[in-house]
Amino acid sequence: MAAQIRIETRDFDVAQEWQACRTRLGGRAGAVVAFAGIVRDHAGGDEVNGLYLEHYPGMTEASIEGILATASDRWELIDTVVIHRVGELAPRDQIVLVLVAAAHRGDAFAACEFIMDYLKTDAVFWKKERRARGTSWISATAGDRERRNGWQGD
Amino acid sequence: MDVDIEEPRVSGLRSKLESLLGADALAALSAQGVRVCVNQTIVRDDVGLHTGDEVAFLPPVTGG
Repeated sequence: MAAQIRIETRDFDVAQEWQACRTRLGGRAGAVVAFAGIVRDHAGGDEVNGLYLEHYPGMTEASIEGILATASDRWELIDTVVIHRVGELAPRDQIVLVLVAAAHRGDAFAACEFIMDYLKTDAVFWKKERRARGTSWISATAGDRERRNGWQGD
Repeated sequence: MDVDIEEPRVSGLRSKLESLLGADALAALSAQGVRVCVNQTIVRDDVGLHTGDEVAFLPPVTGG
């Protein structure tokens, strides 16, 4: 399985990544699932003015490689792309892109969701949320952990 | 930062960082959910260290 991981401050172009993925695939894949995460303008009833993300170069990429390798062991995948932005982000900005290509849609749908659920809980990033009342470092939520744990013991 | 320590263990590094950075920093490094990494691998708390090792204290992570 081909795996591409990019940690970048700049924005990404979904159409361009999609096209590049399709070019790599040729006729091998019957399905490509794309997920894009976007910065929300609210959280827990509060207005959110922005996010700041940090990573740990080397370890962050390795943590995502581990997630993709696990996904590749579980499903028949042909190509995966994870682009994750870091630095200052504003509401409505794109924050993460996951592309998963497989011969069949079932594998692509499931693996894309699995990868996103693990990015929330296991990928090495730190996220600071800026609200009107001040800034705070945020953690994965109980809901995030529940979704991740739902994949264990399947 | 580069730190010289007498006792080459994570616990020795914590003590050294406390004397350098103060009790608040030590509390942050020892807070619940903080994991210790040596050379980018998560380790149990008190492993031995070698010259040139990169030690990181990771607060809880979240991406996506």
